[in-house]
Amino acid sequence: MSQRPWSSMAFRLALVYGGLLLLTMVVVLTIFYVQMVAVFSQRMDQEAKLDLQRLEQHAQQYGEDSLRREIERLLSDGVDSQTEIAILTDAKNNFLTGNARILPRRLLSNFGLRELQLERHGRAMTGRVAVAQLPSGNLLIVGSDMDALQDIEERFMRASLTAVVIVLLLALSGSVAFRRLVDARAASIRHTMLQVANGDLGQRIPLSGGDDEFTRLGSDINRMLDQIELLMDGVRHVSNTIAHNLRTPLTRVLLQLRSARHLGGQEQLQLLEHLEQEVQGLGTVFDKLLQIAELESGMRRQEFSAVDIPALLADIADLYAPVAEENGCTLELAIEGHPCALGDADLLANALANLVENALKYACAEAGGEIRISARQQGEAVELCLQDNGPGVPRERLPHITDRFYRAHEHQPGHGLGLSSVQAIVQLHNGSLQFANLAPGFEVRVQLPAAALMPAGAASF
Amino acid sequence: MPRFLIIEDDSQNARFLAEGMRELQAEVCVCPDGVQGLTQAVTGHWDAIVLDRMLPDGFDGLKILQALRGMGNTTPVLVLSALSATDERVRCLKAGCDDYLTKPFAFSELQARLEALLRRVQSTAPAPVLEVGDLRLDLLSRHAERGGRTLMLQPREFRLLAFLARHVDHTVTRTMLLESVWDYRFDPQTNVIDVHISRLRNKVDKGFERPLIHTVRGVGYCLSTQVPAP
Repeated sequence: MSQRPWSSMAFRLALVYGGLLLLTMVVVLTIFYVQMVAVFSQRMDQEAKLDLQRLEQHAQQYGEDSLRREIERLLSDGVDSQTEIAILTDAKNNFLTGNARILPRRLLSNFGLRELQLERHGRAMTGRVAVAQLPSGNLLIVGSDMDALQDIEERFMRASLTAVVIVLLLALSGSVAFRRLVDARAASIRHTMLQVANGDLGQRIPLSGGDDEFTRLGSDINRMLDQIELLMDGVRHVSNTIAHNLRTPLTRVLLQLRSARHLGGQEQLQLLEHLEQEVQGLGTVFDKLLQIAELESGMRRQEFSAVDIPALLADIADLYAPVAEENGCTLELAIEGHPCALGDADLLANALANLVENALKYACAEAGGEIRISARQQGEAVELCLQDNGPGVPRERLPHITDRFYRAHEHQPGHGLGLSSVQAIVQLHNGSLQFANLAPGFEVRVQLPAAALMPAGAASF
Repeated sequence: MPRFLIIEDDSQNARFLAEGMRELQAEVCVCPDGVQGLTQAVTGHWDAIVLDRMLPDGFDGLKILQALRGMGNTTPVLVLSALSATDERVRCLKAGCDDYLTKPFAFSELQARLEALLRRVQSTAPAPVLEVGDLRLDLLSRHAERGGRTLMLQPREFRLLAFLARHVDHTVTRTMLLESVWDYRFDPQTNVIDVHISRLRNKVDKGFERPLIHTVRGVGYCLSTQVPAP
């Protein structure tokens, strides 16, 4: 952890939190202080004033001698005797009676509430007193010892300070500990990500098994890595098969070109013609691959419009029925209602042509083959179903038949790209593609999103 | 003698194209870049321009095409492109090209399409009746007869025959037929077009001494009173 602690978000958060705690504490302590000390001293002032008033009245009613006795009685009644103060002096500040003396000896000029340095039982102290001058000129001083209050105040301050310091230390060490904890959790994620970034896609973030934020984040990232690895494997597999499927015929062409040099007239011409076909075949494979890549990138979606499915199927049937008949087979359509799909007519025709060509190739190789294409609207989807009575595809091969270059029937000519491009077209349309064995026969189900609007001219149905 | 302008930056490709066209008795000029190409296209008189979609220096085929059409020049343009993306084709057609061919292509395909372009210019108003030898097609009443005998054709077969008749004595490729007669653009992997042609043959040529529909090996078909040279 070479970075400065402030750069860690966990540290900053914990520290800010600690600061907030401290602020709360200061506020609470202030309220406490005001409630305790200030109210207490206020009450002391009030008591001093009341006592003074009472004694003044007493002097007025019964004379000063009685006042002296009253003061002595007050001081010896045992109530508050530790803190209460009562002094009577003459106008020149000579002590007459009371339980304390004024320090230093001087004339008082301020009357009312005030603080006064006093001496009691030989001990100097501060008193909070009320002072009044009696009609005789004598001064009456009543109040209480402030030492107790000051003591409380002092203790309160000391305790508060200690608490603040402890909170500060706790907040700081808490921040550091919190930061370490978060750092350690983040570090395991960062470590894994670094390894992944360096190319080791198999690495996964170790999960602690709990359900906290980090574990959930970790499992999300792991899921993402799984997906990336799957895609990477796919890409690697595709590039390998592409390389294989392009290199092999290229090598064949090169070898044949070399041997063509030694051939004469007619034979050479034949070979060259054959090579031209071979290179054209390569071009076709290339085109198909590019088309699939283009479809998978989803670029063409913005040009989608409502496609009249019955018209499209009629065109396809019109195009391929003669081929089926030629082989003594049949191609029939069964359309319910007037379904319309949202899509690209050329692409959908391409996909259907691919499917029909497959069916022709496998089911109509011999007389008696039947191909049936049905279409209907089902809720928000248009469902197309193409069935034949051919040999079908073995169940274990079904999951692979849309892989590029995968050929379920190896003895038949083809590039193994037809169903890949059908799959890409259907995916571009946000549709779904399913295959099933009918034993005997093969079934392809295509579901496409239905178009909200019918194309012009189709509404008359 | 038709005059063609080739705007193509790949010199080998351009040379092959030029040689091929000269063999067909055409006058050919090759421009290796966009600026020169546009100047030539505007100043010279050409029967058709073969334009590469991707040219160096940022002045590519699409821009030349747009500039040309912007100036009101209507010379037929055939775009050659290594971009097979279908929206690319649409973009070029919208910009005003007359045909679009994806690389790699067979020279015969280019030849057939160029000839079709030239004919399109020559016969802007198609005649209502097409005649090839003793074959007679009435495009308005959709009636076909040969040697005075009515041919019973399905609507699609009529369109197919009419397309061949419109390009009489010239080879049309299978892709051209699929594009024009069925209005779909994709490469069928089977011999679907051949089957349709053979059915048409059964109706048009069967029982007649001289066949009109000829197969041009490796390229396509040709409707003609004479057997076309291979």
